[in-house]
Amino acid sequence: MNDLPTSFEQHNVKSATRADMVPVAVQVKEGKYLTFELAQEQYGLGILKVREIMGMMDITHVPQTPAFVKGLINLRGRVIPVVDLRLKFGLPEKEYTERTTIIVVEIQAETGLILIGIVVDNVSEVMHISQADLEDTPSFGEKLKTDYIMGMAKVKGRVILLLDIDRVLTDEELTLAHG
Amino acid sequence: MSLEPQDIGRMLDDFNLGLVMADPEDLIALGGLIEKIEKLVEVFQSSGLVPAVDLLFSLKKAVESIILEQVADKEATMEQMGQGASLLQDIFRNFKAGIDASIDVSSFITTLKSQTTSGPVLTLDTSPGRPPESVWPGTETTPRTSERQVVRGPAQVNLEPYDVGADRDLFFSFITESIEHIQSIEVNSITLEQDPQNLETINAIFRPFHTLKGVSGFLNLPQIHALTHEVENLLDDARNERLPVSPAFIDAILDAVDLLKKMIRELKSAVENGGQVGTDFGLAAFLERIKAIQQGDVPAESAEEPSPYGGMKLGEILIAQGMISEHDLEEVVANQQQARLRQLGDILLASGRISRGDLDEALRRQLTADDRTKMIGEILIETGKIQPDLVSLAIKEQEKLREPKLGELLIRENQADAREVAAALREQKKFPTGTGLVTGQTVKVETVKLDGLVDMVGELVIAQSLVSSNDRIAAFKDQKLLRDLSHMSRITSELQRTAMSMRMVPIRQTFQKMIRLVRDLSRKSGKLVELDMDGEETEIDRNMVETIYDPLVHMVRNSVDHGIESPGIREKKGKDTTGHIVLRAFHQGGNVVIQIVDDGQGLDARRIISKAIERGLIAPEEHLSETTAFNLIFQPGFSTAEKVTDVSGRGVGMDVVKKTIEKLRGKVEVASRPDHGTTITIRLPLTLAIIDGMIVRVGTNRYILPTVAIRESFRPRPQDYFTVKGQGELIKVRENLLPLVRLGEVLGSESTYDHPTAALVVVVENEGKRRCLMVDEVLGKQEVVIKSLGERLKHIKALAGGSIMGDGRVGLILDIGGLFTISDGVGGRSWSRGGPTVADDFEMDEDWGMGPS
Repeated sequence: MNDLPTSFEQHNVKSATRADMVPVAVQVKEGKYLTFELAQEQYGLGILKVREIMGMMDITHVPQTPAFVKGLINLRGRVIPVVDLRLKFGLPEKEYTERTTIIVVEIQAETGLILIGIVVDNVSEVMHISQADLEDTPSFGEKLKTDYIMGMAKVKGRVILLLDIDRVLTDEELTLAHG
Repeated sequence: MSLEPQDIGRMLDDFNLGLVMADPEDLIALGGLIEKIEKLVEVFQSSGLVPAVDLLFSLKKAVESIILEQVADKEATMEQMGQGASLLQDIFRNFKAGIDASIDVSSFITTLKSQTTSGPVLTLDTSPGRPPESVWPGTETTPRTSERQVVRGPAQVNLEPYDVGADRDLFFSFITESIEHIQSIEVNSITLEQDPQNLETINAIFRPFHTLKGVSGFLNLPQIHALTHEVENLLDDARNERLPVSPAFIDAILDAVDLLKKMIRELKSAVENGGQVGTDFGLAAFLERIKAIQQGDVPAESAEEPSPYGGMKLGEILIAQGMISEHDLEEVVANQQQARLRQLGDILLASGRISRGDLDEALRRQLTADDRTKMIGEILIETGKIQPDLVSLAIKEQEKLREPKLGELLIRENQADAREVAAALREQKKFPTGTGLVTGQTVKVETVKLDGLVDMVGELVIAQSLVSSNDRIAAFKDQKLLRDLSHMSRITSELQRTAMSMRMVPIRQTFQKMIRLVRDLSRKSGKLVELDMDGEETEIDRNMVETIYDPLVHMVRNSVDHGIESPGIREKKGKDTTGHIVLRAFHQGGNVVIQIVDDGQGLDARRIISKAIERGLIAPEEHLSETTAFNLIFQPGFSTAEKVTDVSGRGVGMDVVKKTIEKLRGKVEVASRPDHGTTITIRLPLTLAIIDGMIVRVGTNRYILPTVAIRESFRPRPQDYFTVKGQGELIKVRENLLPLVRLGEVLGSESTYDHPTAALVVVVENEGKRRCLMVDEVLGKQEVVIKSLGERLKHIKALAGGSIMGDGRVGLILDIGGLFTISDGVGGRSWSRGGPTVADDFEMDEDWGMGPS
């Protein structure tokens, strides 16, 4: 705990007033994370955000949306949008395979909780990340946006990027701005 | 109410127990006590134990004072009440034993009174001329009067702004409940106006006020509490025939309802936005008015006198139908009034309290000039023939006996025969008497849960069809399996129907709101208007109810304002002076049809046309059919009203009506005949949840087009295809050239064909504009359940929603208006996001480039 950088503690304080959606990193907590793979990188997602994990299914393309919005799926009677996380993060597109997975997450929008599916290369495991494994996100300067990443964890020699999934899916309209 | 003595004894014990157990801070227990007291009051009133009744009233008052925090020492007051309860038991024991029951209760009442008035919080009315003593009268005054003055208190207690943030849920449910109560009050008030003698109706109005009073007291909403309390007293007076139910009386109740609505609205916004309610609603002035009515200051029209606006009274209907003459009616009505007076005498006579001679003498005296205004009871008391106590008992008994009905008298006196009266009564019944009192058994369910159920059932149906159409299963040659599968499919479709029907509500409530509207409008405009309703039980989608309300109000307003003529003009035209408006609802071919029919002056096609020319809506040389002319009233900025009245001409035009209805995927039409009236017909889909769609394919994607927008579909011949400057494409549909919209291009999906002559075009219409949509294939027609695309995607113009298709995939329902807008954008025009999906900047119409030849 003591070896944590001070800036992280500041974030902790600020995050208490997150309701107004100021761009401040969310508090990274120790706990269970669902880890998945995206272009050979490991990402983690707070387990409480995950509603469901399922294989690839038919996605209905929706016009007038950015490329990362793959379309709509039928989640047991509910119509929910699906976002390809590779495209969202500017990673190269990849053919979907047997291992491609849709993770249905529950995110907090201004209007309440909404369900969104995210397409990832494959799901790895659910792991416990303790406070000692956590590290603050390093800054890469202007060229790399790290807003979505609320922290990093070093577990078993691997680096896992912990996503602030609410921010990933709310900072931008899913519709394309024309005009 | 006649109860066995042991029952009364048990009730008394029960009350005593309740009193002992009650904690002065426990409002619910105190409320229970009041309930018990009220029951006992009824019992003792019917047994004629006046002292007991007075005692009970004082106890009730004391409990109420405790609730309102108007006593200094609650515990002491409770103790006092305990004494009162044992006094009550003494009275009852004496009564049971047949001993004279007149135990003096006045000293006790005075003691109890001193408890409650000494409270520091209490700010009673101490205006000059009304010393505090009068607040708590002795036993001889009717207890109600005392109550009335005491509760003037809350109105004058300085209304501290109260914090509503504390218990939101409680307040929310109170608000919902109040709105329901207010509706039932409004409906019943109108019913009461038609039948002022109907105790049942007064009770039906009384009850919700009573409930509101209780809950508002509990929630510490002093203004609502004071208002409801006052109105409740007013109603109570009417219930006990101390007050006639006059139009002024009904007005007061309706105004109280308005005031209440305002308070509830205020409360609602305070609860929602956090904040306080403390505004003055002009409550004090209103309470003054109620008091004035109670004291008879307002010249109350006699209840028996035909009301100038009603036209609903039995006698009038009979006269209008020529069944009886006006003279006959007057005579009978006079007799009807007398019947009541005679009755009191009869009661006294029957109970052997007075002799026949005494009664006859009193009746004679009543006919003399000096004593004309006096009641028979007063005369009897004055002449010393009887004790006041006994008269008040007899009056109470009389209350239970209803006045003979006009119809009964007419029949008895051979002025009309029973069949005619019955027919007239049926006429009268058409008005909502009765229906207003009926409430179905319902359970409140949150909308979210309901929608969830509908979703799941829809999913079940799809899963069911997936299973039965599975190849492997179809390959089974098992009779039993097939039978079971078809049984399951029957159950699922039944389940689906039931789930869908849960979204439906009868249109009754919406219609009933119009009763009030018509009444107010006719009063304001001085026209005589009668509103009839037909098919109120017709069910429409719950979500539609609210949306349809405003257009309906507007059209009813128009009917009263511009349709129905003033009585003088109607008479000149040889029409019934009373105008009629009929609200009708019925199902027809998968639609809900709502009609507003009036028998007014009708639309003047020529005036509409000249107005339209004046407004530049049509060209002067255009020749329009009558129907087309009538439909001009739905154009924006059109109003034939020559004068702007208080009630219409306030901006909302028929164009808004039309737009609102089209938003519900409905249609509105108007038909009219000069001097015969106007009929407006609204057609709405049965439900908003399901859309009748045509499924089309473009490349690998399927889209759903609302069938209502589709005109036709065909494969164009090469000679029907034109281009403009090599870009704009047109298809000739019969004699019109319509712009071609390549659906694949707009929606970004690869089309199988690149020339319309190889593909198909579907002609669609939106807001009078038509386009050809180029699609690859038309797959078929299907009813689909509309699903929202969610917050994030709802701004996509081209889409009206999504739907789960038979194979479990999501299909997209296209929004024709949005498609038009986008296709304009694709054609080089800019378009903005988030605006209305109306192609309002699009000037091309269907005659573009080539008029009808």
